[in-house]
Amino acid sequence: MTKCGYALLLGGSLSLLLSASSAQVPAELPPKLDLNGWLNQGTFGGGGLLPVPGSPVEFLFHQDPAHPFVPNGTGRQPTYRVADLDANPNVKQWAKDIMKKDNDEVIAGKMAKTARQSCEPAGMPGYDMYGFQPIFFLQESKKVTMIFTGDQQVRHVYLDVPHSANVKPSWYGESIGHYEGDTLVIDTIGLNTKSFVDLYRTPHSEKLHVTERWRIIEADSILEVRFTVDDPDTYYKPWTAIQRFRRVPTAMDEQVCAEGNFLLFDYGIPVAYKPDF
Amino acid sequence: MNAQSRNFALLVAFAAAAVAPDSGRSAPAVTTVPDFSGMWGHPWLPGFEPLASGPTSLTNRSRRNGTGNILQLVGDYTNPILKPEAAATVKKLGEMSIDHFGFPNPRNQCWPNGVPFVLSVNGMEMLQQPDKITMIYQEDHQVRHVRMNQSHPAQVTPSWYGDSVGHYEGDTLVIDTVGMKAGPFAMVDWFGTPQSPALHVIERYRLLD
Repeated sequence: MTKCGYALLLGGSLSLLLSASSAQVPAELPPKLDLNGWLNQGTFGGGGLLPVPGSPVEFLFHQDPAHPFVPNGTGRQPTYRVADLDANPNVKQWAKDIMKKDNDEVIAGKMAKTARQSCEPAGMPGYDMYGFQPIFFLQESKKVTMIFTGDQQVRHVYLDVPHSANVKPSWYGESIGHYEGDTLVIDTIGLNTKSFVDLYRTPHSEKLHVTERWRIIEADSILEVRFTVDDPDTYYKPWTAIQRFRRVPTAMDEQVCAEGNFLLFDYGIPVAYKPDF
Repeated sequence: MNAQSRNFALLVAFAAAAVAPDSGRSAPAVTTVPDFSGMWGHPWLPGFEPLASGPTSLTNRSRRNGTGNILQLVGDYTNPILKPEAAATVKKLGEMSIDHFGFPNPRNQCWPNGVPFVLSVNGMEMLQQPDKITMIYQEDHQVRHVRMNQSHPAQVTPSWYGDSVGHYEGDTLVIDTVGMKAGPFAMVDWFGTPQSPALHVIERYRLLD
């Protein structure tokens, strides 16, 4: 398990520099992500994935033009995301069949499920699409801990170690990482199938494999993650996308999902204020 | 990478009292800081380990095979630390435990455990940084934040885990927490000891081995 260094970033940097005589000299120092919080820039536009330049944009789902998406806060009646299934040639038919049934029900009036409204973990890469509250990074020499403020969702990334031989599937899987110059690279496997891959509620298999590359693209202000999704049971080819975050000078506060949603909405979250036995 | 729990040679002693918050403490000079990093297991049921003497936490009146019966949580309502109203609550819940195989608590109802109930969680990871300590509990993504070498605000907005400030006293980490709100099923321990907004908890963490 982890051993903490107090000069966390410095410790990581020193270890790289000290090993420079026998190893490749890093071009850049590891990124200092442990700076307040990072808020997804897509938060107030309804989120969504940004295409990686040069990658097939049709591999990302887009809204069905017959059912326009209206995010919250526009003054108009919000709507749910409904994917244009025929426009994405990369998703296998079993997944599209599930999405088609779900979309039909949503169009007919069913509430479209998201992790946040149901107080469930978002899984991966859903974690990178969390909005409205920031993500915090705690960098140690052997580990990076990520905490999303909303309901205190925690990911643990173990640095410079291989994956376990047998990984028991979980919401956030098993994440290992390393620094490549100014980039934190995270490799995640062992994800259970309870989560969606994206905001269009695309299902996946336990073969889902997500690689993230986190890099500060504007000093102390903009953080970018480029992630690659590979799941041969769900997709014909791996695909990539971008999410960007802006630094927010705020402390990590306490936000309990079930409590908040119970007060604001009623999504059927199990709540008991008095015993029934 | 599966987390490997350290053996439970980390001692946490805490005191809970309904007294006014202690604020404004200045931290003593520290030369070395103990390393509490990593995952710590706490395989003690139910909840807290009572001290050998002096005012201490409740024990289970229900016994099985010579030890506390985890299937029946009947707190010792005769413990002199309890005021009459609190003793009556513990007694009533103990009767529920016998009659109905348990009673609701924040853990089995999936609410934040609050402090000090959360100390009974089986696994805790502590991330130490110079200005803050983050404590992550193994059950249901519960996270606490401890601001180091600072005072409590004059006005604390009540929250599930309250406002925690900490400092080192030699080999000991001292955490002072006030401002816990009494949410649904909030209780101090597994026996249902009630709490009030005046709840004040002081924890002292020290490596034994």
